[in-house]
Amino acid sequence: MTKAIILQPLTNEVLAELFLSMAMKEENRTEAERAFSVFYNRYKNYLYTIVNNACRSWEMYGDELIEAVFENSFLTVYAKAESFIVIEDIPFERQENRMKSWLGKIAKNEMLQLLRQFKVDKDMIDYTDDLTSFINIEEETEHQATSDYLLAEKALQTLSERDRSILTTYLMFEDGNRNLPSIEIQRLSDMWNTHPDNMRQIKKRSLAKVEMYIKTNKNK
Amino acid sequence: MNDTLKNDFEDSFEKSLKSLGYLFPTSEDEVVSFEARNKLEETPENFCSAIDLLSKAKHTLTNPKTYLENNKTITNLAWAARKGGDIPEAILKKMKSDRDKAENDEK
Repeated sequence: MTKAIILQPLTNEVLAELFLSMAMKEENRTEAERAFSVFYNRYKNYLYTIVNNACRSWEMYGDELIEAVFENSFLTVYAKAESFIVIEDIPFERQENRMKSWLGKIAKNEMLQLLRQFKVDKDMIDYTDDLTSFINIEEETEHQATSDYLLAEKALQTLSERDRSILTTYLMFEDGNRNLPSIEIQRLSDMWNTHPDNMRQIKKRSLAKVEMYIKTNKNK
Repeated sequence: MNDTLKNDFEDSFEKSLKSLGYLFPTSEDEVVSFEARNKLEETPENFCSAIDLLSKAKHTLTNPKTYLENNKTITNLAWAARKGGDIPEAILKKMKSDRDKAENDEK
């Protein structure tokens, strides 16, 4: 009789142990680097895909921005590995997606930090390397219907390339009371040959346009 | 009133954009939606390995104005080439000065 081999799922301990090994880099560098390699190879394609997608509004930086956000995000994980050990408190079935959501937050933070380094308005972007603000165990679980996503994409496609780029850039930067920095407003106005004063109006009009499209088509 | 505070529609639209990949997915829900709608891409071969990465410092970016200026110079050259014939010395000089200015701004 053949014996069925049951593959064990990745347990909570595996990710937590990888972080523990990385956190102990001063005590055992070889083991820390091995743990980092495992982590890197597991998440590199995911991270690359989200960074590559999200950088579409920053085409002017070319591949440099994609590579910089990608590498800086992994370096942050390695440097702050001890912050991620709390993943062991998250149920196994949610652990993988939670890690990916954290990678999204780290990558967004890294992108804001990179853009902050420019001389002009460097204080306007509120960057923090304190990971405790988003490495928490509780998470909101507000679900949206698939039809909402499809409609949002169609609504976005009704906008011109210029308006789409301006709207997504605003949404990427604005979070709570954070404003789009004027270096970004200037970049957008240079790119689209529009006066910087018009940017907020374009964002507002674009948002109103997609909202109208979604409302009109929601129950069709 | 702070005009960056988002309303319900903006929140839900932003959530959709995260799931579609236009913005970074930052919740489990958005990760699931993102993966359902986007094929994962292979990391480019020229990206360094995990171990090589650990020996590197964090990146900084070139000032975007340099990109704009360089692109302007390239556009000028392409335009001049399309018009045919040799590019006049004066234009070449102006292009060189644009490029030098952009490079100096970067430093």
